[in-house]
Amino acid sequence: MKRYITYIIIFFCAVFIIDRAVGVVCDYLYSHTKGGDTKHTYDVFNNVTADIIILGSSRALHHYVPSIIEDSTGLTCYNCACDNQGIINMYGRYKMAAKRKKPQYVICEILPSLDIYKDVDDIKYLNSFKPFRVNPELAEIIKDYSPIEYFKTNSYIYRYNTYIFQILKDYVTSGRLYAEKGFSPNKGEMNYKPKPHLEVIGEIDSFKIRYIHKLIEATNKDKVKLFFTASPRYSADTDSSYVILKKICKEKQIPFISFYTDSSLNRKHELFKDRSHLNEKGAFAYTREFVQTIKPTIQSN
Amino acid sequence: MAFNSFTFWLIYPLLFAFYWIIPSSQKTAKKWYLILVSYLLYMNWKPAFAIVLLGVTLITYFGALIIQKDKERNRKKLIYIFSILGLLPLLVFKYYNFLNDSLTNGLESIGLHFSLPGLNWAVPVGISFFTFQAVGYLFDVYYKKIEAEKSFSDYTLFVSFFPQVTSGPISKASELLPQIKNPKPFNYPQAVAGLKLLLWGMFMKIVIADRLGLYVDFLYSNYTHYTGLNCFVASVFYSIQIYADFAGYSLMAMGIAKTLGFDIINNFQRPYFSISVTDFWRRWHISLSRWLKDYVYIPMGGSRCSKLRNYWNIFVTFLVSGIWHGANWTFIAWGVMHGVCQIIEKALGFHKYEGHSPMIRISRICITFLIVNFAWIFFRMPTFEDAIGIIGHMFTHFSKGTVLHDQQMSIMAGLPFLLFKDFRDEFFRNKMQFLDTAIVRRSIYLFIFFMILMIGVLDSGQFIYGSF
Repeated sequence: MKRYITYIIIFFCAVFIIDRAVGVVCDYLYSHTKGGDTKHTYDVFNNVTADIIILGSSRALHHYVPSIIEDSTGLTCYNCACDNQGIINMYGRYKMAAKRKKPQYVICEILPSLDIYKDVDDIKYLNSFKPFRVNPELAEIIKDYSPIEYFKTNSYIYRYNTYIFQILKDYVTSGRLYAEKGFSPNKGEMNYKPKPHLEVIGEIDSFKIRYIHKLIEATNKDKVKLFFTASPRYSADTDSSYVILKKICKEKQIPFISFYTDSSLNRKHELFKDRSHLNEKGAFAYTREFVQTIKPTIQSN
Repeated sequence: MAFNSFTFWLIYPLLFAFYWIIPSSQKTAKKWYLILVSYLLYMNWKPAFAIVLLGVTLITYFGALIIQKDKERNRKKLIYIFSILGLLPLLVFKYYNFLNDSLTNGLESIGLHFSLPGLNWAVPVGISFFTFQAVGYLFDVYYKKIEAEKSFSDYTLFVSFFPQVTSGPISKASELLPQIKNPKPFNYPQAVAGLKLLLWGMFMKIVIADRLGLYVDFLYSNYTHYTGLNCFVASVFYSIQIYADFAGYSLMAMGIAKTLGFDIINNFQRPYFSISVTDFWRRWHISLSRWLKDYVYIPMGGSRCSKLRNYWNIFVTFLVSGIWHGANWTFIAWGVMHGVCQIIEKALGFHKYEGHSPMIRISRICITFLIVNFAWIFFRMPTFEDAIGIIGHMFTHFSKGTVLHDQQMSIMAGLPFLLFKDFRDEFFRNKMQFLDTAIVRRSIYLFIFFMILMIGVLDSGQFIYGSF
């Protein structure tokens, strides 16, 4: 038995050493990527300071053009959004950005399936936090989700679970195209006729709702003006999935700016990459319209 | 509690330590400790499930004693009574809603409207496994292969033994009960072998099965958006996923049992290298195949009867296999497909191959894999329409295409290791001896652990067979 326990101890000592060594290498690679999603995330968590920050999923990442907002408002702007990420992740991004410099305005694009209703598992919204878990703002969110999950991030390798290939790719190449200030344009046009749009109302995820409220509280406390938004969705003629958000906005007096069903944009095939995402041309057209709705608020401040 | 959950691995060292702290001479204490641990871990799924487990244990324990005591003329009646009673929870929990829905739909199709209320009860985890294990024991007593177990504690542990209660393997009483009665002292080679099986099983489940599962789920839920080639690749990935998932779990169960000094049956022998569907069932879910052979096929006459009767026996055996796997017509279709394939093989003499031609062997392996792969589509899809839909899509939209998916790099990183190991174990067992040297072996173990941390799906994905 002694031999067995010794064998296990030696094995885990070797695991510990390799874990630390590989973790240090991953940390270096992560902070020195040339471009792509990795650099974008790294910059958002470590470098970005802007007067206006944009949060949200791919519908924010590909829809809001910071340069148009900057030209119109005279304020600096950065698109901090990320594909397939929701409010839980966006709260963390806000806290990290505000740590360096509190923005004046936050534009948060909401997609109910990621930000309000349940999907597979909320853990996916925390994965990008793990390499940065030393930051108390992000550690708090991981612990809130699951203390066990936070404990697991003591492993340096586990912090990069699944990310290593993305990091290597972005280290070697410049990865996915990002234009200036975090905006990622979608090239091309929708070359198929999509099925008619159907609003899906799912089961409410109370953890996500809590983070909507946490974002509202954090921006209130920091005296940052928050806007919730919904950009155009191809052929959508109802925004019934936003009913919960509208109720929260009314209760907390947060402006909700919706172009979701705006037929001047969402019937134009040439402005869309697919039925959920605008292409580059569409993003420019939309941002020009959108900025006019927030300009009065910015100018009056 | 699933073996791939972090919580299990936090508490397992304590369970292991306490078990071995109890002196080997204290057999009763060790036994009751394992019973307590088994029931507590089982109740972690849902406490009420333990009532079902205990109920099946009590029915089959007393049933076996009564059958053994009784005279010959009543034995047949008693085995029917007690096996039906033992199977009753399984039939009710797993099949009531299916039978009710099928009956309702059938009657409605001829214009009759009648339905019974549905049951909204969760199916106890592992009910198919522990029920078959307990009923198998009943039949062994009936056939006088073993004596009825008098010790209730020994029998309770046999049915509830935690490494296997949720997803098998289905052990025979003659294999496990003697080990329970005489627990062995700590054995270093056995315990180390257990750790190796645990590590490899974890790799198969977390790195291979769960990664492939993310890809398969994604593609199968949107298959009309992808080419037929993509769908075919997804079907192959599903075949590998279900193998890695179930074999991985079985290896973990074997590994945990070995660390506690128990040996349980190996459930898989590289099934995708089978040269026929008949051979496949000698390598896939071996404990279930054995159960079906001993308690369904052979009592019906097996192969000691006319050819037609033999074919009928094969058909019924695999119909039962399909039904056992799930309460859905797709599982039944899957089982029937396997039965029909074996009947055809037997009729044409293709069920075995004793030649030495590598080309013929490779061709047979490929053809068998394609047949099994095709059948898995019915196993995976929720309805016939979906299964036919995806098969049709494979043929009508078969063109080149790529599915760029965020899992592809992790899949390409992990899969070659599984393929290499299985190839080596099947065809080159005595070659590449350098892989068995101490330094290389230990480096491989570290590398596998590193792979688990780096690309494993570590948020407790469920075992596929855990829902049976």
